[in-house]
Amino acid sequence: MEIKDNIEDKQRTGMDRVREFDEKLLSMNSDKVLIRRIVAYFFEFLICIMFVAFCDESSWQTMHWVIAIYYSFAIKIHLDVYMTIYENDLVIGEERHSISIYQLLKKFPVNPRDIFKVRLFYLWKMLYKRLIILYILQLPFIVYHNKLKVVNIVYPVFVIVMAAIVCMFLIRPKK
Amino acid sequence: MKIVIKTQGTLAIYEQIVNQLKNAIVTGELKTGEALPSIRMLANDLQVSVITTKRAYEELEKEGLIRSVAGKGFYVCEYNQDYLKEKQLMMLEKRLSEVLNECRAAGLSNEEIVEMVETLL
Amino acid sequence: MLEFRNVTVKRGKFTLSNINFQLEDGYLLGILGKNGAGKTTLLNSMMERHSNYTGNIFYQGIDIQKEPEWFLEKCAYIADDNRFFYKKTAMENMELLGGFYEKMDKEKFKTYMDEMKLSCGQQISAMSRGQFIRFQIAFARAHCARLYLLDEATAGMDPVFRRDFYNILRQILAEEATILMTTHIQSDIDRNMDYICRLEQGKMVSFGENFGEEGYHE
Repeated sequence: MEIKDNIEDKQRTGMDRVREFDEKLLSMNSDKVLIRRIVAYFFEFLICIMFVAFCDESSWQTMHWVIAIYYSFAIKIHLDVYMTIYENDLVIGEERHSISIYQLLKKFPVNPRDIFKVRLFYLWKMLYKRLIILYILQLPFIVYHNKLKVVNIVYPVFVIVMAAIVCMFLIRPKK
Repeated sequence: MKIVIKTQGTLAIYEQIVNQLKNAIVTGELKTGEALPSIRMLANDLQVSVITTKRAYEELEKEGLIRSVAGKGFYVCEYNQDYLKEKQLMMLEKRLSEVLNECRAAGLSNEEIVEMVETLL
Repeated sequence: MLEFRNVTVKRGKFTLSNINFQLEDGYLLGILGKNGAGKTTLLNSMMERHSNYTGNIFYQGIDIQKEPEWFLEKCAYIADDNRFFYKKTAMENMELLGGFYEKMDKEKFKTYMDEMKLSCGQQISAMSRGQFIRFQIAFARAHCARLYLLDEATAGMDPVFRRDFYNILRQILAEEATILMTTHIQSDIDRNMDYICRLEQGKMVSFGENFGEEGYHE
């Protein structure tokens, strides 16, 4: 059926359109984004130092959770430009100060799933980089305590996956 | 020709259009075979809906005054002008007698009615 | 053609029940009803993706719930509380939000804005209500919308402005696009409307042709 073919084409380019829109959104807010990113990266840097400094046998697991929680917050800050539109940019009315990207684009011919998928992709990029950082951060610990167990490899992944689940919950389509 | 729509009054807009066009055809202002504006163009000019002009044209077509040519539009029919005039006279007579009945019902005498008509003429 | 078949919408405590009508392309439907009668609910039922309604809405024979993007591509919802980037200009908004429409054409947008005597470089926040509505119409025409939903667009329009506005609508209708207009003002019901539908307390009490009479035929 003719329309079905067009629909498939659009699903391929639906995500492209979302990406284009995101780029424009980013350039619209570039100074705000830059400040937030600098702040978020700074604190991430601090927490990495803390991890290396305080990580020992007993606190190892706890430190992983702390860093994962922090990552969730940091990622939320990084992704916020793609998730929330603020009152300054749109007149929102009533007592709200912001609306979600899904609400903004509700009446436009874009599938919320495409919006979500593109954000998942951004999330994935951020998470795998941080997973690598987490592995690197552990090297001093492993070298110093001369330990390398399976748990050293698996635990970071587990913790990052938990962070991923929290973030996915935050970026999901909602009214 | 110019059609004038009165927004007040008892006649629906499509009826006003029908009457004025009919008049123009009967008096020869619109010649036989002449093309009429399209339904949409007429609606645009008169600032009315296309449903209105469509209905007006349908009525005129029913009365045999105009005909539609597929893909081209509406044209004034070649018709017996006398026959049309007679039909129009009959309609006017009917309306006049209705008005006269109302006048009598209002209590007017024949002289008063004639006086009224003379002032209006 | 737009067709509503036994459509019932529930919105909190309010129910819009049993809406049935058919509207061919190229016609203008006026929807009259007091505030709260269900006009906006009726229009919104078409715009929402996972609409909470029973019954079916067909456009060109296709159930719009089955092809929401296809339908939203063709549809334009125009109201004075629509969300655009207020601090951005008309052109910037078109570039930002127009990208979601396959058929959005920048040149056409410029042409339509000119026709309606609007400046592409004007900020949305600096536009009057009438200008904002016309901007949305230019935006819609630029992406070749086929179905226009105007929510209370003529409220507060003076007669001169209203005549110009209907001239714009007529151009849209001449292209065989369909327009639905809601109003709560009886005198907004215009002789330019082809069909009139009356809503009262969530029910459609009438739907009929407008021959330019005081009432209308059914």
